[in-house]
Amino acid sequence: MKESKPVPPSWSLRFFRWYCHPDYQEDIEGDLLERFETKVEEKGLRGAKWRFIKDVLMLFRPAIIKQVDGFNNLNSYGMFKSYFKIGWRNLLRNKAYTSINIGGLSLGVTCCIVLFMIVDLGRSFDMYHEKMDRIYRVVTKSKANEGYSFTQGIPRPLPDAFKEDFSSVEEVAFTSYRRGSLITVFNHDEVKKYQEEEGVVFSEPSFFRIFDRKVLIGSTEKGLDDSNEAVISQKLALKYFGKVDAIGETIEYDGVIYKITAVMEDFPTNTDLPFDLMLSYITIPKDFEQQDWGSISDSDNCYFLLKDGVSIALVEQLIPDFVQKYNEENANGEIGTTYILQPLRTLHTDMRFGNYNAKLPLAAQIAFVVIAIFLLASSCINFVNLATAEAVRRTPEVGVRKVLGSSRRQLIYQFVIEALIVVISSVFLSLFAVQFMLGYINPYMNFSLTLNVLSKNMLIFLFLLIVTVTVLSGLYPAWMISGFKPILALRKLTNRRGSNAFGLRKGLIVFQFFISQLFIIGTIVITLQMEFMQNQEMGFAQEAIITVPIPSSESNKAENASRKRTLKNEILSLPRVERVSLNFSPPSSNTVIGSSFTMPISTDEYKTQIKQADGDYMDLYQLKLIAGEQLLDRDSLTNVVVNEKLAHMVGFENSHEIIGKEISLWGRNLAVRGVVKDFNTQSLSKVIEPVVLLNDINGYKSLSVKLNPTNIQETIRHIKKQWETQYPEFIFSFSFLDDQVRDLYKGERKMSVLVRVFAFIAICIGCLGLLGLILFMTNQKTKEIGVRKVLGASVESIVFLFSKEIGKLILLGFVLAAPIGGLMMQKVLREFAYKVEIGPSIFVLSLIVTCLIAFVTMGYWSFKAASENPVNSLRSE
Amino acid sequence: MSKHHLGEFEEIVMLTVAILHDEGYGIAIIEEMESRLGRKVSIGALQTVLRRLENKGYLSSQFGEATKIRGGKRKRFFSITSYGKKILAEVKDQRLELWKAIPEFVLNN
Repeated sequence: MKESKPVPPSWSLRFFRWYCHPDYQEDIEGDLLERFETKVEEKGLRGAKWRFIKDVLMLFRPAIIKQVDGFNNLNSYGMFKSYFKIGWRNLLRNKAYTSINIGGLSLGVTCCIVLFMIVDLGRSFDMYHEKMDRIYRVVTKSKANEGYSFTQGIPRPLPDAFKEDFSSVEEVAFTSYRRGSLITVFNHDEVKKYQEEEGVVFSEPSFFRIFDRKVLIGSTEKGLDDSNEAVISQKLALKYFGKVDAIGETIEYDGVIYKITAVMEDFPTNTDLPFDLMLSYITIPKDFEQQDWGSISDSDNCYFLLKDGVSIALVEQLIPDFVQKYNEENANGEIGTTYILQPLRTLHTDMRFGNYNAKLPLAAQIAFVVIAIFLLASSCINFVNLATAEAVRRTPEVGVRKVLGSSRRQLIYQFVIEALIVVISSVFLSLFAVQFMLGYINPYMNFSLTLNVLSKNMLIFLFLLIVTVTVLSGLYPAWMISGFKPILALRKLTNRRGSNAFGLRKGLIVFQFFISQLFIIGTIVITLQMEFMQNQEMGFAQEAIITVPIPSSESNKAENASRKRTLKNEILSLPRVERVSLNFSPPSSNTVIGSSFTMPISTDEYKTQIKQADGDYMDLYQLKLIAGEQLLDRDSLTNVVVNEKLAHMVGFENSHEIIGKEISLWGRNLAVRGVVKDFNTQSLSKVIEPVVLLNDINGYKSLSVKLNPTNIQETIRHIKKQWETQYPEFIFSFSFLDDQVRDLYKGERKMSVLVRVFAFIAICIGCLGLLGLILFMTNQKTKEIGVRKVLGASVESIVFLFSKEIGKLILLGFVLAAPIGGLMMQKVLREFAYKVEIGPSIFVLSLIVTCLIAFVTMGYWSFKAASENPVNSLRSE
Repeated sequence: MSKHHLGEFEEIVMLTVAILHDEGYGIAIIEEMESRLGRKVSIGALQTVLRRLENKGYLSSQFGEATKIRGGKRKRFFSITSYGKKILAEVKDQRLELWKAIPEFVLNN
């Protein structure tokens, strides 16, 4: 009996003993234990323990907790307690001051926390894999028209060769990703279709040996080792089959049936391997063209695990031989391609290589950190300004304390503790604000941030934040206030030393204006740039055109081709349909195909973009023909149309000269039939690239339809009906081209909104600081204003006096901000091929905006001070 | 009118202590309230009120003998002081007066 006696959780009992008032401890502890013993019989040990913990927590209230000062006064706890009390009362007494202070600080801290969370999440990507330090990805670097181009894709035969040739590599895993896949699910007798935007991935069992992705049901080794096998995530298993144990169920993808052999855990948010459905790679038949070392697809990736204790340099130095062995030389006797071994930790930050996620480049991380520091500095400055302004009111208190024997150190403690109260309150407020804001930030920016205050990084960050802000903002005012001479302080004469502090305050305000104006300049430039890009002519028609994706299948190409033709003809015969074209993508699109070609006369290799399109493409999009003739309407490759840029690149000054010449592409010689005027194939942040238009029915992935603007919805319904008779097993979707074109700038638009939000916050903080300064100035100059008014000064002239003062500060801030802001924006704009000029008008505008905001902020207070009756201010002497 | 205000929960606790008559300690009071009123009370809530009432002088308490159960901790038994009895009576009178003041037809419906 005795040995098996249940005991409550010892830590919670210890906690209780720690906080409980000693007078009450014994009997309450007895009550708790008694209650625990009866609960064990009623509810079992587990329930009783929970109950116990809950009771202990519920007992944590003022009446039960022991007094903070304890029993001995050997230390200065009592004094600290008094500082807290006095500080708290001071804050409550001065509500306007406190709310400006806490509000301003909260704004800065909130931004700081959000930015920290973004950067922290960005840095945590794929850092959780146990063997992280030994995992690498093989990526490709190849020669482009100018410099090099980089891709995460590799030739399909590479993984096998890699495993064969490198003995220091433990595991190699190949992944081939298919975005936006249609999955057919057979659940009992029901057949359901799902359009998975996240897509599926073909891979090998070694994937699970390299990465930490637990298999919950089924075996890791047998998951993908045979053809027609699939591994599904828990989440997707529930979605498809309504249960986790989906072993043995079947699904269909791209006309092939797969059997589910294992269920894996869901992927965490911080991974660049977001795979929900993995299919065995061995299923895909190996075509001849897929065995080619020359063709590379972005979606084919190769990861490998280095053997323990082996240096990566050992593998790296063997890469040149590896390249030599498998890649063909071009006509000049050189190999344009080499492979780079990319460590897993850089997967999320290296912008040269793509991912399945939005990445967070290092530059953005740095920018975020800088913005966070700026905003935080600005709000600390606010605090310093307000605290030093407020100090005037505290001088008698300081005098009394000094007379009664306070040391300067004690006074500093006191004021730093007051700052600490403000900082901690604003951090708490900010945490709520962050939680609230995440509801907007996450969907808008496509982030998956969660506020977890108890995570290690967050705790450290918050602690450092509180300490830094307290020290930065509390120490100077505390030092200044505690330096008052007691006699002068008691007589409220502190201005002897005040001029120095006032100068510093002005300097800080200048710094705040500098930050605000940087943000304003940034906002103006980015807004102008956005507008500029959206109004820029892209070189093709966009109105009343819809595009409809056409399902593609890797099997049965002949039947596919005829279906596409029928679809086109059926839709063309519908009323209110003006033109129809089969093509790979609209003129401007985020997906482009790149390839290289040579001219028969020389051995130079050129890179170009390829667009597969039929004969109606140029008419539908109103692409202007400059020379030669239009593209033919054939199903297979015969001759091509190129753009001006390509003609110039290969050395023809006059576009006419290239007509009839041949280019050698994909191993064939193709005659150039026509030259088209340049158009933008990507967003306007990119320059115009050389383009080849050619017929190739297997490459048509999209149907463009030019509609009559009347009754568009009705026409689309007809198109849908036709489409569904051709592709009954797929799901119809469409989009308007002008929407698509606008979507090309989604990233830029989000960035501009982000900058605007930060600018707004920076301005708000700046305004609060300015408000503090104005309050201080009007407080200090009450008498001066009174005397001036008695001597006949008008309200306007006094307001002007204040404005002049502030105007000088703004101008000084502007002189600092303009060149730095200009340089910064020039750097940002370098990313865009088409950009606005940064002219003087931008700076003038930013100056005007700042002045307006500043004078609106201070106008009321300075006017109020100026229109005060001088009798009131002078009588108090 | 009494200047001492007695909260609803305080009143119930005092009444329960009175019912138990010198046998009222933490858990006993909670159990009594649970069985009579069907009301869930946490130790924390009860102890806070008990201390408050003791500070006000309505209740007094002394330790009992240590026993083997409850980890050898002594119980603290509460009893009502004469001042506490006076307050309770006052509260009761107030209530009764209020009841009496209600016109008969209001409650008869």
